[in-house]
Amino acid sequence: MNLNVVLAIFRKDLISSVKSKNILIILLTPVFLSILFNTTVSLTDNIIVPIAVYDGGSSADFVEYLRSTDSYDIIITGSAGKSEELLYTEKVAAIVLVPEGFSADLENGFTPFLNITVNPYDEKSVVFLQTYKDVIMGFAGQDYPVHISLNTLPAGLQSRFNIPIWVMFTVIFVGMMVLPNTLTTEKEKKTLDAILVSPASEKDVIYGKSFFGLFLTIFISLVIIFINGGFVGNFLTVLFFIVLGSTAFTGLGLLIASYTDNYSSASLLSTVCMAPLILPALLADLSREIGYISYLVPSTYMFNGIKGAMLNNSGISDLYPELGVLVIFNIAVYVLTAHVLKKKSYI
Amino acid sequence: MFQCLGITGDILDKAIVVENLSKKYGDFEAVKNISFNIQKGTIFGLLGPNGAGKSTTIKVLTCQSPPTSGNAYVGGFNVLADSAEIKRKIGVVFESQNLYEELSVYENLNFFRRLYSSPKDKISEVLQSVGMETHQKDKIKTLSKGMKQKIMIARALINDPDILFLDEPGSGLDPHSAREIRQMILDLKSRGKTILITTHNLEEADFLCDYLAIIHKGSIIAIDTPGNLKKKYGEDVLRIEAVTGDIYESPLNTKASSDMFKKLSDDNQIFLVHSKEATIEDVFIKLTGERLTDES
Repeated sequence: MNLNVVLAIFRKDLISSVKSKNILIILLTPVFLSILFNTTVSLTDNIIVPIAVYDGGSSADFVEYLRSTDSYDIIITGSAGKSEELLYTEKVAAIVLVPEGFSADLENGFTPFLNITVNPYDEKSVVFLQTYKDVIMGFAGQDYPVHISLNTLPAGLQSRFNIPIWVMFTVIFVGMMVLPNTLTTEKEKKTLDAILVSPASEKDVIYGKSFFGLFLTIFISLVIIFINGGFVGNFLTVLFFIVLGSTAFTGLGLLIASYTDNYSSASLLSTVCMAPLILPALLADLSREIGYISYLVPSTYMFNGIKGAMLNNSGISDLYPELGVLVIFNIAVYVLTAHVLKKKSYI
Repeated sequence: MFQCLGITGDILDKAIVVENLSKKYGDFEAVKNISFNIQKGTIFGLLGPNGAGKSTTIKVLTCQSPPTSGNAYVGGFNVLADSAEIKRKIGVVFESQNLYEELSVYENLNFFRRLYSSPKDKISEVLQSVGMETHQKDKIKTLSKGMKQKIMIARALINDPDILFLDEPGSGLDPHSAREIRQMILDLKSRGKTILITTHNLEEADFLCDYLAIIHKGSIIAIDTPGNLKKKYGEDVLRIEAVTGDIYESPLNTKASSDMFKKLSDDNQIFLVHSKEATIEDVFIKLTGERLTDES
C-alpha cells in the first residue's frame, strides 16, 4: 500500500463529497430524516382525533360531552351506515354508534352498550383508544378508582431513545451507499483509468476509498448523535460499536461496488440489501417471530450494543455477545469481499 | 537499473519496443502479433478505424491490460514485469475526457500531482505550457471541449513524463481547438518527449507523425514515415479538367497519362491541368480497400 496515494485518493474524495450532489444527498439523508422525525414528534402533543358519531336517539347530551373534551373533532351523521362510510374512506379515525336511550340508561344505573369501531391503520386512533374510557367515565360521573401522578421523561431525554435507531440507520445507509457511489462513478466516468495509469494500484484505490467511506460513516453517525444530544452513557463503547458497524457495512458497500459497473445498479442493489438489514432490528419488539428473525441480522447486534452502552451505561465486557457477532460478521464480509475483488483482479 | 534479463541494446535505445504482441478478449483477437519500435523524441502514429486495435495497443503499453502474448518495453521496462516503473515515466491522454467535472482545474491537477508526489509548482508549470494558467479556479464542467482537452494534456504532463500516449487527441474538437492541440503536440516533441498517438484522422496523422503504422483488424499492415508510405503505396496523379466539366485522372509520368493528355489536347478539350500528390488516404485505401471516415 502506497500511503501517499491512499491519502491523495481519500483527500480527493473528501473534496468531491461536498461538491457532488449524489454524495451530499447520501450524507444529508440521515441528518434530515432525524431532524424531521424529532420535529414531527414535537408537533404531535395536541392531537385532535376526527370521529363520526351517530346518535340513535335521545343522547344529545353525550354527544355534546364528547365535543366538550376538545380531544375529538366530531362529525355527527344521520345513520350508522354514513358513519361507517366516513371510516372506510379514512375521513375519521373512529366511529361511535350511540344506541337509543343511552344517556337515560346510564342515568338509571344500567350498563348500556356503546358500539365503537376504529381504523387501526390511522395513527390518531391510538389517541382515541387511550382516551375514550376516561371520557365515558367522566360523562357517567364516575371517578377513576386511584389518583395517578403520570409523568413523562423530559423532552431532551426522550429523543435519546431514538438515537440508537438513527445511528444504526446512518451506519448502514451511509456505509452501504457512499462506497458504491464513489467507486462506480469513477468506473462509469473512466476517471479510474486515469488513476490506474499513475503510480496508484487497484489496491491503493480500494484502500483510499474504503477509508473515505469509513470516515464519512463514522463522522455522520457522530453528527447524528450530536444533533440528538446523545453524547451520554458509555460513549467509548458506543464509538467502538459505531466503528465496528461502520467497517462491516462499508465492507458490504465495497462488495456491492465490486459487483456493479454503474451508479444506478449499485444504488439499486444497496437499497435492496438495506431493507432486510434495518427492518428486523427496528421491529424486533413487535412480535416474538420478528424478534427471532432479528437475531439473524447483524445490525441487531450493533443496535443492541449502541443501545446498551448509551442507555444502560454498559461497557464492552457487558456486551461480549453483540461484540462477538459483529467481529465475526466483519471477518465474513471482508473474506467474501477479498474473494470477489481477487476474482475480479482488483487485488 | 534494468531488472529484466536478456535486455537488448534496442530496448534501451528505443522509447518503445513492441515484439509480436497479441491481445485477446475471449475468442476475439483485438491485436494480432504486432511489432514496432519507437525512436526517442519522435511522434509515432497508429492510424486505423475504430476497432482496429489502436486503443487496445495503448492499454497494453500503459499497463492497463496485460498482453496475451509477445513482449512490450516502454522506456526500457517490460510492461508485465515493471509496470510501476513504466507508470512513473509515462503520461496518458485518454480518448474520453475523464476529468472530475465537479472539481476545479487546480483540484484535478493537484490530485494527480499528489499521486505522483510531484512538486506543487508543477501545476502552474503544466497549465502555463497548455495556456490555461488563468483557469485554475474554473470548474471542469464549465470549460469547453477544447479547454478540457488542454487540461487532459496538462494532467498527462504533471509527472514530467518521457513518453506520452495520446489516444485520439483531436477527436470531436472544433477546427481551431484541433489546430491548437496539434501545435501543442509538436511543442512537446520539441521538448524531447516521445509521443505515441492514435488517430483515425488522416490529416492529423500526416501532419504530426514522424512515423506512421497503419493498423487494420488488429494487424499492422504498413509502417514507415508518412512520406515513404505515400511514395510506396500512393500514386501521384495527372488530373485534367475538360471544358465539358469532365475530370480525367491517370498515374503521373506513365504512358497512359501522356496518351490521355495528347488525346484531350488534340481535341481541344483541356480546361485545366494539374498534378495531385498521393495522400495518406490514398495509401490507406490502397492497403485496406476501405475509406477512413470520422464515423469509422
